[in-house]
Amino acid sequence: MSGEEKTESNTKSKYPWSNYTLKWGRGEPVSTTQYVLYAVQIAAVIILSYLSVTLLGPLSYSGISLFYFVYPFFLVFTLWWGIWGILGAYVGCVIGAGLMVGLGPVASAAYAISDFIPPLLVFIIYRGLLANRGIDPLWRDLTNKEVAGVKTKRVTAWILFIVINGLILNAISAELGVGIENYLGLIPSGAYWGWWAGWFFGDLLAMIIITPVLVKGLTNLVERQGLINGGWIT
Amino acid sequence: MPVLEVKDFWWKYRSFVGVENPYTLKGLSFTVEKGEFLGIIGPSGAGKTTLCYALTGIIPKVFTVPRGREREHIKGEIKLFDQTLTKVEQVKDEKTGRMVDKVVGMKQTAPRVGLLLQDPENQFLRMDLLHEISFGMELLGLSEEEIESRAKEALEIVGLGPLWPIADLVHPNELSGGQKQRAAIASFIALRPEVLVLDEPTSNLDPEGKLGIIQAIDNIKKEYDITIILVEHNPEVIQKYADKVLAINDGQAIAYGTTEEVYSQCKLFEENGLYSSDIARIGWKAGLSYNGRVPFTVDEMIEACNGRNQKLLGANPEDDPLDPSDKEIISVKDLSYSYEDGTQALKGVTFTIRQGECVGLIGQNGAGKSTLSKIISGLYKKFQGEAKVNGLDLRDRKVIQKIPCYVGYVFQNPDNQIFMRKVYDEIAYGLKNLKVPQQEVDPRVKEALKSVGLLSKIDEDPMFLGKGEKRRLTVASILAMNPKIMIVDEPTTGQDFRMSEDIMCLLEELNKAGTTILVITHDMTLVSEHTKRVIVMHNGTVLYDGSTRCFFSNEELLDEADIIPPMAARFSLEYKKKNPLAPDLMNVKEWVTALNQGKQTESA
Amino acid sequence: MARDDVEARTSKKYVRTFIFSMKTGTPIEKLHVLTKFFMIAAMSVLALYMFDIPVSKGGPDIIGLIFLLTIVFVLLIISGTTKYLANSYLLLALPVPISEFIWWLFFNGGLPGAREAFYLWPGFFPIGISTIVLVGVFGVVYYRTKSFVIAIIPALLLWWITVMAGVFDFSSWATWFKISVGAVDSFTLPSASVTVALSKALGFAVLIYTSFLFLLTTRDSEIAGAMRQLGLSFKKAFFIALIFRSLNTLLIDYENIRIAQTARAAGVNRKNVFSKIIDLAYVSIPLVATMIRRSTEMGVALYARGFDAAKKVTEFKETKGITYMDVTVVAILSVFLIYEVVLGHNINHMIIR
Repeated sequence: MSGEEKTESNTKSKYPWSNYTLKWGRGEPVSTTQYVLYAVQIAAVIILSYLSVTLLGPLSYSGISLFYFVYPFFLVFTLWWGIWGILGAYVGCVIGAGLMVGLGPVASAAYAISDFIPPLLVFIIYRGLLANRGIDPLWRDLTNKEVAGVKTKRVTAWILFIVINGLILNAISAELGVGIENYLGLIPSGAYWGWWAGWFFGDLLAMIIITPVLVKGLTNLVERQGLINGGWIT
Repeated sequence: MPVLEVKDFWWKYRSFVGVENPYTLKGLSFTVEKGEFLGIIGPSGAGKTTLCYALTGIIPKVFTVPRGREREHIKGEIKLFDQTLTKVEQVKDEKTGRMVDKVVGMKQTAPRVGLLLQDPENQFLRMDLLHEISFGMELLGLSEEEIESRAKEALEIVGLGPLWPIADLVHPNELSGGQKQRAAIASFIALRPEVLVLDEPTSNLDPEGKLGIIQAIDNIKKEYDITIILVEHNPEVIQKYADKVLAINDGQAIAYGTTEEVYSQCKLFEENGLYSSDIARIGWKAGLSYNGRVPFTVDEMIEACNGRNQKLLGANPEDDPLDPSDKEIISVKDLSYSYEDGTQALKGVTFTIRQGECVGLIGQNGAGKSTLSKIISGLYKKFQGEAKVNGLDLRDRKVIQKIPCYVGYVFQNPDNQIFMRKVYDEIAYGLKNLKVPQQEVDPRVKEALKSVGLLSKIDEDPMFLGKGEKRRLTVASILAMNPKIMIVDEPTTGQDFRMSEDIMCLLEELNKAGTTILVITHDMTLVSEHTKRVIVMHNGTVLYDGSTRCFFSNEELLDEADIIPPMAARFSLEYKKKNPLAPDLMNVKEWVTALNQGKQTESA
Repeated sequence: MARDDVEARTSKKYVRTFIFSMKTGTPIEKLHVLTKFFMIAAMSVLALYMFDIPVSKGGPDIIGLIFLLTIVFVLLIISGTTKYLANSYLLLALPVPISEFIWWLFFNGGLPGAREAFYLWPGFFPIGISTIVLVGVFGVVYYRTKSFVIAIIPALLLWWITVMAGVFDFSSWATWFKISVGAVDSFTLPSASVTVALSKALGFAVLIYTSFLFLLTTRDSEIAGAMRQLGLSFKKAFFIALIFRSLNTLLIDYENIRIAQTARAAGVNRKNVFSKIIDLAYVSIPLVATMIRRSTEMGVALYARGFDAAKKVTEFKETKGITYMDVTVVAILSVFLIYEVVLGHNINHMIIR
């Protein structure tokens, strides 16, 4: 969408992010360049997932990292690229945090569900529910006082960010991930809550510290190049 | 009939947010005949790559225009093979029945037109050489036998024939940049194109890689009657192959004609920051001519000198003597380094560099230059032997951590070094890491930006700076850290003449102010003009360490190191064959001074 | 193929795989990628099953796990990839089975059966086989990593396990001298704890080394071919392959960016955890900028090759046929799976009984 088109749509809709929806897309097919970007993005998430698990060396095992710094990356990628970001999160976990650290395909495919559900829900909640209530679905209101001239609700945005992402979705992710690993016999029941806490707080820390840097540093760059998806697919 | 016709073509990139983009191409008009070799030259940001995209249909198929605003973004027309490639026309909309503007033209230019880009990594799309070559043919739906035979032939043409038997086993990581580029050329050749557009194909390559590409282009010209359009900074290449040259700046044509017609306009070149050859610059500044124009080649220059009865005698120009009391700032003894896969990058390297020197570190790719400089800057840790910087032993892990305080490393690719979204913050990043007090940060940032001419961009987003500006920004970000030693990796790669000069002048000023400079480069002109001492790496060892002048005047050493000296130095070597008493001159400035002095002496 | 070509082909001894390389001409190289994938999937199912058999049903199948591990190592040797196993990336996986053992030993208290005493400290420092283990493990790991900390941790762990588990029961052939140090300290655990913990360690080792086997012996180009054989269109298979193609490039980009960060003094002064995390976050900016640039240029390169308009795409040497070796491997593993998982037989119990 050009600058002029955007201004036109701004005057019609209440918020500057109203063109980011849960529709399939903007009516244009996915271009080759976009497919390439999505493929490259998935590769980036694989690498970052792998580094997230191995960075702390032998302290991390069973694919669980005490500081899973890829988490905010694939959340932000999902906000930009919809289903492709969600796919990247899943594939990144299966290959980067699973196969490449020696978990085997079955365990990897199973426990990577814990990285699939949160971004899926984030995309639905923010674009479907919160965008029309004054909360930016690209999370720019976490770091900016205004977006395209419209004042943001920073405090509300942060409260929602911590409650929805940091607490609820993170807990779901930990429950799924540690639960599946326990079910498969990779983690003993006696250590369940210890690992759950490690997963939960590791992801929470990564999210709170890294997300604002990503959002502030990159969203504008990506938007200026016309690369943020209007909907799920394109 | 021309193969390509560009008629008053204008193009503006789409803007998605914020301010509209300006026009990148402004009213270009030219034609290219069948079998012609057109060279396109211009400073950075002139629009050369955009023009390549327009000539191959990438604009507007990949870089689209917004609906309803076609005429704002595209004006004029491009015709290819006498068909419209790009044009805006009024057509009847099927749904509404109204007349609307639409971009019309060929849907696809492949396989008749091929495009080779600058970065070899982004063009090697498959995971083995065989499928990379066969990619285009597979997309065309050719038979397996046809694909196989064309692929083999194409590899031979580009000099990669020996890899044919193992082509399906060769992974892209096993190929050098030059080989990847040649593979990309082969993949287009296999499609039997009628036009091949090459956008600075040798920019990111070492001299060996560059030579491979040039030879491939040479072979293609001889074997096929392909129309070639080459964007290239190197005037020697253009002068050797091109039939016609188009010079552009700021999206507009500033010169168009035969190679001779265009390259004779030395003043225009200087004003627009274009590369002309050393010989042309010497001829122009010394007032020598060949057949009514400046000489282009060494032979023409020698004839021009003979024509003026020009003889040079005397001693070599004086090189600045090293103060023997200068402190040793870098000292390396029996330094060795192996990569994880067992490759030995350095084998017992020994040398010292004194404070205040400006040294060129040269050699073919794989010689060990990068590895050596990364060890010195504390970026590679596990080495054998001894390495000291500013008297500190790099074998001590605690010392290595502190080395960035003393050694500033400017990498080749600015994109990998920009961490912030504001120019100010980008410079301040390093200072904050060094825990420089806040009250000192601001003046140091501004001083650094001032010295590179970027003060006016202090609040800009570095991602959207031009190529040359990004390069200067990365230099400034290291400068602000006040290192005693600066290591600069390929400062002039991909830069136009003016930018290269600016960067090198900046480094010279820093050197005069006391900073020790180590320049890693393949640009021998840069070495001859700005460094008095050179360390030549070859297969992980030091082949030569000494005066740049002595190195460039020693043909045996040059052969052994596999290095082609700058044109001015080659001229000197040739000139001395007939005039043994002539001094060893290695750059344009020295030649011009010597020739002008010689002229004065004769007049007197 | 001409004679020169055959010679050139046989002179290429190693071929690049997902990680590192494998020897050419080996049986593993000849296997279809789908067979290899089935192999590691089957082995991981077997491992997950074998180490999870409840104590009430006879306990884990330790011999079955040892058997699986042996097969994996034999396959690694055949494929000529064992030289990479001492590489620091792969070596980092070594402590995982050890830590798995410890976690399962101490956090698996709910097991039925009698409790046995295990020494925390036997009251003396034994000089014997355990000392050789200590020195040997330390030496090997230190040689590879040159780090005292990384070497001493696994060395001490293995030494302590050897001492604590009383494997050699301190008998004279295993312990040559005893130096009195401290008092005897022991704890009790269900006697099945060690078996379960050992089975987890072995099972994890199977999981790890079968994953590595796959990564070390599979070429990324095989994956694209396999996609086509599974019926995916050329373009879909291409984009999946592009993911793997981009992995290498992005990894190099990431490392270059981290080095550039170091050059900007990111590691000069001690930083708290939060600052280190933020440094990691800053890597994202050049990384994403590079991603976008690469994607744009690759999109252009694809258009230039005629990708967008391609309709009927020739399949050219992309796919590998299924051979008798593939069928044999799949058949054997299927039988094994049915035998253990479906029918519930247990090699461990068969042999021990």
